[in-house]
Amino acid sequence: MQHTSEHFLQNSRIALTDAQLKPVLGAVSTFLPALRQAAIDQTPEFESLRDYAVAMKDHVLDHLETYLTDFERAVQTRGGAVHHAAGPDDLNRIVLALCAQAGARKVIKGKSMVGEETNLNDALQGAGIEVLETDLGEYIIQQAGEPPSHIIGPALHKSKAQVAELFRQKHDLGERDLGDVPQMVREARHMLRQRFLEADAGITGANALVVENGAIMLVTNEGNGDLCSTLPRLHIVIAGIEKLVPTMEDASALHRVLCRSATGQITSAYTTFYNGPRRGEEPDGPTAFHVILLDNGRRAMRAGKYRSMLRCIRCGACLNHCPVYRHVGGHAYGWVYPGPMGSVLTPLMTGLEGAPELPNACTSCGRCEETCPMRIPLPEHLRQLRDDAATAGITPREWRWGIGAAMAAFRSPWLYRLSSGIARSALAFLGKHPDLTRRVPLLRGWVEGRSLPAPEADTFMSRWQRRQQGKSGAHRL
Amino acid sequence: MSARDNAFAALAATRPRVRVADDAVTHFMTRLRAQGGQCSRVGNADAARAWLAAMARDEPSAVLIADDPWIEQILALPGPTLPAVGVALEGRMEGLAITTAIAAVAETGSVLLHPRAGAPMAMNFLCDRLVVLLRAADVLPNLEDMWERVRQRFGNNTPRALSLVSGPSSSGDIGMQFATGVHGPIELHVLVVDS
Repeated sequence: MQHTSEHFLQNSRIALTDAQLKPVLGAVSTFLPALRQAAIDQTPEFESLRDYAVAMKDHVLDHLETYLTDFERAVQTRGGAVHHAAGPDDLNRIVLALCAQAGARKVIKGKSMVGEETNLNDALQGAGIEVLETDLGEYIIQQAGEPPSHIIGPALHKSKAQVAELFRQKHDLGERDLGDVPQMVREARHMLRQRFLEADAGITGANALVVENGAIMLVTNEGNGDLCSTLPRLHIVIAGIEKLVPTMEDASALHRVLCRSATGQITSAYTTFYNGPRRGEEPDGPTAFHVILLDNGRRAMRAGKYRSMLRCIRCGACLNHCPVYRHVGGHAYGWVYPGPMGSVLTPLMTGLEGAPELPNACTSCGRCEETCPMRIPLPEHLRQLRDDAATAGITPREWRWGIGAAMAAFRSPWLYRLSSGIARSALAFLGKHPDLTRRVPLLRGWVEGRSLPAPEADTFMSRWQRRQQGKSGAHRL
Repeated sequence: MSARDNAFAALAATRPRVRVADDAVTHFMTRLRAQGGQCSRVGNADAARAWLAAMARDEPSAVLIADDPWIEQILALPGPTLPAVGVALEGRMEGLAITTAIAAVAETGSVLLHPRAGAPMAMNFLCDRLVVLLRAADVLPNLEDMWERVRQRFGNNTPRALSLVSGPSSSGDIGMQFATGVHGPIELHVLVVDS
């Protein structure tokens, strides 16, 4: 997809005025957190499941290279092959070579964020290969020619009516009722079935790569990933190097926190472990099994202060709980990963220069870190990125001046008291004259979608002083 | 053992399990139903035979039946004939399909399916209604118990696919509304047989 993270502010402004988007995002940010909470309430062990998942992933990251070697050997033992891709172009090149080798002209795809990272569909189509997304959400946005807006529900930004309209445009099926969701689902089933049966190659992601036996864990609710892995003669798996886990039990340990955090499920409808091509006695399955492992900045992350970001299992909980995502939606972030995890990953994978505003798309409320099943300190990583941007001189001059002024005020008690006193009086005045707020230069944009909060009657410092005097020096916390 | 393997062994010893409250079969059935699957329990093979006949009664087309000694045994018992076709490898594999699971997990309400001669993987995902026969004794409490069973049964020779099926094919991708039968089975029926 086109990278527009540079225009985050502009993208956000457009999103904020999108009347269609507002109710959809409101529903996402209410419904998905409620589902997650309900699943966690049913799981008294949830905190210990999280602790184990974090410790296990940290252990793998500590020994990443030897685990990679062992995984590769295990895949080979079962008749498969492992390929290494340093960057997006390398991955796409390997996929094209494998397709060419197998004479594959029709490709079906399961949902893969790595595929989005490398823009794989464009590369395939550029080589004259027909590629079809089979996850219902991905299918919808592929038909609409749009990028995903959410890593779990790529088409969540679309209303039911918009999907029905799209199906009418794209499916030549004449007059029919598309008033409810089951009708649309049945139509997609009908449209995709023949394409599944005709495909030469299936490309899927992996939710985990199991070192002990070279298996990949594939998690879906639709079963589309299983059809992609089973019907065509070639199965290509694309995944980031951080997806390794030592054993099948560890893959299940991750699965427990993944499903609860992503969709509030105890388990997905389908969780399948694939290893190698079909065995001699098996009646179906591909005859070739290839795993392509993508680096794309991951080894660099592992080597530095952003290492914990490699624990991310792409559940989307941080998106669903982020007040910024709730208002601007996924497309504003301008690349494949939105929300808090995207605001960290996009600069790290594609460069801070091209995404200077993303680390600022944060209120430091901490909900993302609180809900992250892998306990990734997302607000801290965003702060570190802001620090990196300031050090590298990427932060705009006006911002640096503003931060400098704030620092001076915070360091000098009298200046702090003076400026907070002025701010309080000004806010109190504006609170009484709301019509005037629209005339204040820096406030105008802010109050367009919301009202100004009424300030407290007094500053903390002056109230504290009064309190201390009243108590004649008696300390109380 | 290497330092890595020692560190991992210490870590793996701390791996938590999810507690399964009632007896495993009851827990399994409750979970599966909560996930949109349908589940029945019968006492013996004769009752299973009658249940299968009732299930196939309304099937307009032929029934895909996995080549499996247990199913064969049940269908050999007296009862109405099923419009069976065996498993056609070519073709669309629509309609009703009947197979068996080697294990089930109470924790997640899942049955464990795998491809084998006479039971292709595709039938589990292409049919409209999937019926899975399961022995009550094969319902295990946790995922860890299931992996232990898999290791015992297959050793290093695991099949190409080990599939945990925990409900019908479903999606919330349109308007966050739960709908079944996206690509795979519209209905999933598990029949637990006690003996």
